[in-house]
Amino acid sequence: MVDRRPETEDGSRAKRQKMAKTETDPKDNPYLAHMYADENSNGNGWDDSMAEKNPAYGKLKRHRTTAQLAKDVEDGEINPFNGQPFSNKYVSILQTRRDLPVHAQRDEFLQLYQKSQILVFVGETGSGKTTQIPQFVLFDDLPQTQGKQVACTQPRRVAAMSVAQRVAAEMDCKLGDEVGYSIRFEDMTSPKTILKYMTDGMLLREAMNDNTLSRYSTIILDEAHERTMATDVLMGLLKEVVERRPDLKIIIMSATLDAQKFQKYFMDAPLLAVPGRTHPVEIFYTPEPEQDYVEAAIRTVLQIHASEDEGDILLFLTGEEEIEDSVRKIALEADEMMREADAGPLKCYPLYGSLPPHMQQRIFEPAPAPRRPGGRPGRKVIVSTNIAETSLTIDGIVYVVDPGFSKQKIYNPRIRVESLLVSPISKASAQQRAGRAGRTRPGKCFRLYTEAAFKKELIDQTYPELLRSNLSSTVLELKKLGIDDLVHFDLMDPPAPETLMRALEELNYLACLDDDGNLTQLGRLASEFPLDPALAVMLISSPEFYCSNEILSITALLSVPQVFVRPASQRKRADEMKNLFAHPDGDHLTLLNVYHAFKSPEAQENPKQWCHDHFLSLRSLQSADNVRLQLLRIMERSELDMVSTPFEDKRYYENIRRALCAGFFMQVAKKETQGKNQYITIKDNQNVLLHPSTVLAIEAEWVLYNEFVLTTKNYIRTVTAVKPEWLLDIAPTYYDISTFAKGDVRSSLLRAAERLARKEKMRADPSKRR
Amino acid sequence: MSDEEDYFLPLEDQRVFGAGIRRKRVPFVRSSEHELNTTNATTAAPNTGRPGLSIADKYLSIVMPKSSQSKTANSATEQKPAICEVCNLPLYPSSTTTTTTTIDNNYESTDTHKPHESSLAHQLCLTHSHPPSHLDRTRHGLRYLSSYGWDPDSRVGLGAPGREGIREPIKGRLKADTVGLGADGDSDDDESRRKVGIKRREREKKAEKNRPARVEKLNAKEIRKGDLEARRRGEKLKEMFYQREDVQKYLG
Repeated sequence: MVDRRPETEDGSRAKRQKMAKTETDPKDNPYLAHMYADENSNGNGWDDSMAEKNPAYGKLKRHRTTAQLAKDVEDGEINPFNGQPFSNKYVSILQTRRDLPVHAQRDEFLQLYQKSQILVFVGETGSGKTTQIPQFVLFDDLPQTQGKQVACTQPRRVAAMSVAQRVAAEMDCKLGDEVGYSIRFEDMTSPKTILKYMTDGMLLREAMNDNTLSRYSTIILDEAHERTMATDVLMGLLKEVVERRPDLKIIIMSATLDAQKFQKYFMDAPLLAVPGRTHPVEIFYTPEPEQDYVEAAIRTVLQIHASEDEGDILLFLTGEEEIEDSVRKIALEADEMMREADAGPLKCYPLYGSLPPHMQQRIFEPAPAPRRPGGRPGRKVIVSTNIAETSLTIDGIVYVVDPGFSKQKIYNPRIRVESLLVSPISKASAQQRAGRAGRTRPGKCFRLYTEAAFKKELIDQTYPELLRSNLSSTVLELKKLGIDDLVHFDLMDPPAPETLMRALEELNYLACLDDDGNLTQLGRLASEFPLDPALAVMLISSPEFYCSNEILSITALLSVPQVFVRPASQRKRADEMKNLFAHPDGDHLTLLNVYHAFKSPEAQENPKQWCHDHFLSLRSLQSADNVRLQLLRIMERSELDMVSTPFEDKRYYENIRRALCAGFFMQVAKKETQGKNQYITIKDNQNVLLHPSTVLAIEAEWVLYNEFVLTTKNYIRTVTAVKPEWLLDIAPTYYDISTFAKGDVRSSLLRAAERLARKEKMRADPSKRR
Repeated sequence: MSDEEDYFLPLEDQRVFGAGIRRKRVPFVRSSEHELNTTNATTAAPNTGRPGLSIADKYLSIVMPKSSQSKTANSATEQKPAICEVCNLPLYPSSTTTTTTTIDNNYESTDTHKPHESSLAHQLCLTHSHPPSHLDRTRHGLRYLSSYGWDPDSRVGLGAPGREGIREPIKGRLKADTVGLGADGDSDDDESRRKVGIKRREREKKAEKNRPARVEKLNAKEIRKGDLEARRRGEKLKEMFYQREDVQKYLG
């Protein structure tokens, strides 16, 4: 149900609703007046008034509900959660809800839920677990009688929003009232909310300020099989919380059958499995390994189109470029097939995260009709990244083509680089992909590798995100949660010691942790920001450099997808436009120029046109604007001054560059003595090149970078020129010259230190003379 | 000369410790001038008559207390082959001579040692001593972890006891080509063979691709010939077409 909603139903609709909500305060609504009267009295009052309206509801007893009782309430006239009569729409939705596979096992679920504190629930995609289980819980847990809420976490923001919207419709209430959602930078809940969908990261943030999660009576961790960092940390945390709070119930929901691992982790909690609505999928392998998986994939798609029955095709590839390229090739070839072999029409759609929403929406269009009545049926092909593996479901897919690769994040703590690498998928992932073919009817999955390769070269499970990421923000969160013993913290898959050590050291250099590993004042403040610690520290220290307004803008721009658009067909023009904003000292300042230009009245007159003309992404700039606003609120709450150096001051840009150093002094590279554009990263000693996209116009000896891009060559992207004196001044412990080995870097630092000393002396001398 | 040799040999033994206590044993021969080596370790051994042996015995009892226990268990129940506690293999007293002769000659005659302990399977199952971790002991992060009881040399990961995690970070491999899964395998025997096969097939495929390209590069004579043939074929077709009865009838 849920999954059918595309990723694309972004904030726009939700935002509109939020506004609507503020216009009509429910407290002014005469029909709801009783609720507020009751709120102040004892908890039972709520129950009594509702019971009068919906007699079946009066029979409900907390943790005694049966499927029959719940059904009676649902069939009643009055919505027991807001006292309004059920609408016609509700009745029709109710019918479809009761056809979902989970519904058949409602009693079983309720019994297990009532019996134990932790429950592991396995339901394949399409079983309805994300929308129905939280509602089953509501009818049994009755959180409103306890003044508590039920939380259901989602790994993705879009899922949290769209599911909340769906469930609000199912429960016949307005989104944001009884059912709401809470995601980073957007809170769509009210005091009335009893069911809250939220990102796992959001729940973790809440836990930082309330470490028993006291406002919840039940917490549902959905899509736990995805093993995001936040879900993993939450599981470790909840394991401790349940001991302190016997009244708190936990449900772990997973879509794959490796649930025994969850069971074992949660002290052998009971497990309930609900079959999904799936059909058998036949799996094919290639007899030999393929020399070129992209080419093989394209050929396979065309082969299916030529020889297989009606049904849409889903092809998994790794990245945007590869996908766009394949879409083009498939479309060309299919045209030819149509002309020459009288094949049916074929429509090919790309799908990846950075695709604009309206383009993503297109994948839900039905397959094209035959060219003439009675002709060969049309077909649609979706060429997608991993998104289509679990996050969203496209009905009508009968054939899956799986080359066995995906782009995966990996973190190397030795050189401190997080990169996206094309890597073989896991067996579990391959099975998940195959399963996509059996959603509507029996399907086929074509794997572009041998069966031996499947057995031998694929790992069983994809490594959880926690093992593949930089942990500095996670460690900061854990410290804020009051977990000091990171060695024995019970994670399902604890990280490698070296990765954890790196994180601790980074936080120490950023002064978020002191030398004994205790959280400092700065660290506590930094943990308030939903940002990478380096960015947070930069933001917090920016008032000292008189440029917090500017640094706030840059931070926001660094937190959103690329603002510069560079279509393949108009690269030159796009580069010319980018140069309009270019600042000779680097890309961070160029980003700032872009933002200032975007906020100018001239651009705001028609932002869409303006962005189009200047090859900028309106969506990125708008979300940067939103992020900036949210961060501004946190800054104001933390009593950080918003200041700027006057633009006329010649130190305007220098101050900004100094402030950048305060956060990114660990991401600095120095020019090599020979070789154009060749740099070497400080301390990690990696040879890097400036990314070709940089606007840096001067020969900078020292540069600070935002990102290390690992491809065939190592690039540093988004760079700005800095001075070693600043680094020595701002981060003296990190740039302790005695810790540097003899060489170019050390001598350059020594010279800078001399210059600093001389300047100091000069400053001191005149005063002496006087 | 011989002095020095005697001095270094036991050290050699120590280096391999539990791992190769007898797998790679250096054979000892009694010195002919025994009186001279008074300070030597070999002669300073207790006077049991077979000094080298008893040292090894003592050594074994320290390093492998379990295997010596199993040895006694074995002697008690002779008809049923006991299971070695270390390697989970049955202990066959009869197999002594056959296995040991190949490994070391000196101990074959002395029946006090069960040769099972010197078998490769058993040796591999013994706990080994490991080199210390490579981590820099001065690192701040390590100090923190150590303060909570993590020992870098313990060869266990972090996490709750019994559920320790990985010890080394996951390594990624840069993939810059579009070679399919399994086709760029490592130097595995099976795989390299497959690779050779692939290369051959690839060559064939390339050759196939090249062939039509070569046809285009015909010389004038061949082109003329081809042209002629095509014309002839065309004429033949025309003939066939126009000579059909119904067509001729139609054409009158």
